[in-house]
Amino acid sequence: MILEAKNIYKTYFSETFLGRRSDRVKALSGINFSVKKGEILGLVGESGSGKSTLGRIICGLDKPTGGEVKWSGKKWSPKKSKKCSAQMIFQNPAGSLNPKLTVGYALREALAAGAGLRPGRIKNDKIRNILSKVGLEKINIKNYPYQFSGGQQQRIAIARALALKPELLVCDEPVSALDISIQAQVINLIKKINKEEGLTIIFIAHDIEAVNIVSHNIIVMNKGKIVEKGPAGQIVGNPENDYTKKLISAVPVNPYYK
Amino acid sequence: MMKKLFKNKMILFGVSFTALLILLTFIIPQVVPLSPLQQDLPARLSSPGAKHIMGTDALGRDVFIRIIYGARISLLVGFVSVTIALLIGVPLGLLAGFHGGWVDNLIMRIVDIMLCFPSIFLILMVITFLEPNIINVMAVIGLTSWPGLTRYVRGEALSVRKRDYISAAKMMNIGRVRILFIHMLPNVIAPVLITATLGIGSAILTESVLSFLGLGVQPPSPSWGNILTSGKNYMGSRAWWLILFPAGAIFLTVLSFNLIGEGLRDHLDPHKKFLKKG
Repeated sequence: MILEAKNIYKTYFSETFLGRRSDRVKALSGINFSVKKGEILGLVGESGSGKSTLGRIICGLDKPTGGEVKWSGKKWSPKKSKKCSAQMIFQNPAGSLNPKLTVGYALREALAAGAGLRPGRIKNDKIRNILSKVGLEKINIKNYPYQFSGGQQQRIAIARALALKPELLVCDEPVSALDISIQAQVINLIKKINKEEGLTIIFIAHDIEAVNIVSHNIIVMNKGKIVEKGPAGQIVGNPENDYTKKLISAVPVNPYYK
Repeated sequence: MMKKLFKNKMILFGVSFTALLILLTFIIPQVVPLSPLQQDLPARLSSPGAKHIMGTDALGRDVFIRIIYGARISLLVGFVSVTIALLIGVPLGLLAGFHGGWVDNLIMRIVDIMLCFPSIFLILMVITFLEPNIINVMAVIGLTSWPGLTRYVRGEALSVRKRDYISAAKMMNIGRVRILFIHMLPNVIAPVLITATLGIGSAILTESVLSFLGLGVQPPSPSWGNILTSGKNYMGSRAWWLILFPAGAIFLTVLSFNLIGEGLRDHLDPHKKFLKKG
């Protein structure tokens, strides 16, 4: 088990004057699951089901209110360990790249952080090398993010995450902001990375069809709870839970998926 | 970029006037042998003419020369005190916006306290305990003018820190200083530039007020406030040039910096651009 999430709770409070806690929103209540090395785990559910919050907790961007995340059996906290073993791919590729930094600089910085060096010591070959993994070896690395298409931006974001040599990649709705024909390209890229690099991936989406294509195992979430989990074929082919059935019947047909 | 900026008439005027003023402060002392302190008692209070284009004061000193030498002091005070304010205000604002929580609370409460005092009284209070000279004036203006900048930068930083690229930088674990200055600062640079330019104008004005009150640069050094003071007794009399020219210099310079600031705001503020198109 590369990652174990044990009994994770996340509650958002709206704090009133003088710091008294009032309204509570339970984003996650009692999530338990584990991820095997090399697998792609799909997390599916509608908006507000808590899947993104779970992704952020795994990546160390949010703290859980209760429960813990264990990496290979060890507890991880952002303060103790230097680099998080998980990296995240965000929904909006334009927003995940700093608009004021060139693509080359962003990748150089990530490579440096991954290798524990200063950015000046990273050679351009290494940047090219990491870009070739996402099929972008020919781009001009002196360009700024806005000079690339959405699909290219998302590939650059994936390259940046790979540069940090993560044990786990959390893809939070990586294709829902992209054009439908580009979606398939990015999904295929994610599958390719999983196969060639052996990278463990958590794929978060609201579209159960996309999740089914990518994942080995699927977790269905609703209102902060896991309602069903199991191998992808079983969840989609023979769903037990009513909510899962609803999700499947709501899928639009995408002609680009094979 | 530059071409586009100069299409804005406010920026064009502001930059041209400032450039002209800076140029004159370099050229005039080389070309004209008159010193700003040189008295010429027989020619005292002579009106503007061919020999003294802005006339002379009660001691026969050339007003034009004094204004040009005074411009050096005013511009120096403007730039140096704004630099001090930037060095304090920008890092604090970024830190408050990025860190949030008690750090944000602490910094913003200090800002609130500083902003409750009208800054000119705060400056007067401090300067009475110090020796009034140009270094102290620059330091005091700089040390009292950062809170507004901090508040502005913090507001922008609050919106920037929620962006995904900051989350990505955090996951890379690349140090807070780097996140603040390499990832956040370039994205909040527009309000910093605008506030800094407007700040130069107001610093120049504050220095003139202090010198006019005798708490700034000490006479006989020519600062614009001092020149006004020396003409104070002639207000309303026939020696109008003793007031009009130094006051005009202050007015035009402050106006120039304000126009550059406003022009930059129009140029850099995405909301305004959108409104104009729509």
